[in-house]
Amino acid sequence: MRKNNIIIIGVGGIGSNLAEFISRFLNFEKEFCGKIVLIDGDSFEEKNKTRQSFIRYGNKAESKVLELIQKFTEIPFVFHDVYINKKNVSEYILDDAVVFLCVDNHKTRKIISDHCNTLNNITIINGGNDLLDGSVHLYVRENGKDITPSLTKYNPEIETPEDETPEEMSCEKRSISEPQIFFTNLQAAIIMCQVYYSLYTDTKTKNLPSIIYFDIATQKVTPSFRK
Amino acid sequence: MRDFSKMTNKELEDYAESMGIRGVSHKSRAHILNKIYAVTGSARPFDLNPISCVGATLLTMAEYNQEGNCNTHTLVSVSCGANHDFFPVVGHKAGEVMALLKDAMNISDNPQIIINGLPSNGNYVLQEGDRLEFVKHSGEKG
Repeated sequence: MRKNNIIIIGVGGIGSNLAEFISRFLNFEKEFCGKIVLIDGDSFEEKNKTRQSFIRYGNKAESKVLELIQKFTEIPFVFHDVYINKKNVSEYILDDAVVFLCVDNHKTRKIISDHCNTLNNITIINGGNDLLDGSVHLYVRENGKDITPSLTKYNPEIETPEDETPEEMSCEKRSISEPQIFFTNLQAAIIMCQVYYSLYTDTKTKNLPSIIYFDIATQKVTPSFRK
Repeated sequence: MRDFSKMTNKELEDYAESMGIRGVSHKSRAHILNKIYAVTGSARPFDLNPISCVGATLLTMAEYNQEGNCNTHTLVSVSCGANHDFFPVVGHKAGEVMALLKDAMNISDNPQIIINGLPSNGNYVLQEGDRLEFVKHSGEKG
């Protein structure tokens, strides 16, 4: 885990905050010798201000990396101004990475999940939320075998997604986004970091829940252990 | 600890009222005892009839019948998304529990059912120690 590259896919409400938390943690971890890669084809705009952490406009992955390299000088950062799709997924997600999946659609989750099912060693920490609640899913694959259930196994909404990737959406559709709350994004980001911390500090994967649900309205956080 | 088994109904009523419990006048012995133990909480299973607790687990709820005897019910862990609680549903089918708790736990229509981490179905009869989960859709936005 100390030498695995970190790939953050989706630098929006969850990803822009998570990138900062993870970078702060790893910047002071002397044993960490990987790099942090941010991937997003979207741009930061005025309407994103209420939930997303940026200090400049422009491509989200690039803007965040330019910000992070100023703060955290011990880590190599890389950005890619692209959306992940079926054609490029194998180019950006390679074996032995830890993928923080922070996208806003199930179709991209499905593309990434299917690709990761073909790799030998990969970890996905997938976060997603609705208005007040959400979930964090841990998928670990070692030596070509699933250690925890894949993103699609118990989730038909990811197995057969009904939504569209950002590239499939019209400009008009893309400009209309469902309302979200900053604290819900933040809760997802924090739980994703906590899962990563457990893995980083060598907690046995079998002791970790495969999915964690949260609800910021009732302050409930509930783990689910699935096989 | 008071021995409630030796108290008359009137004595139980007076004792309950001294604890600030209202609405016990002329009620059944079981009703009064359950009210008292609802207030005293954790002591419930142990002070009236210890024999009834043999074999009980930590997930056990006590309930008192008309004769004042303690019956224990093993609780099953039930969750749906972030909602989670324990219910006395051993012996019931998972589908029955789903119908019972649909609104309370915000269970969607035809959710996937998981028992002890593995896929199951509504006909499964719940046993002691089972973990029952109704799968909630994962969060989409980010």
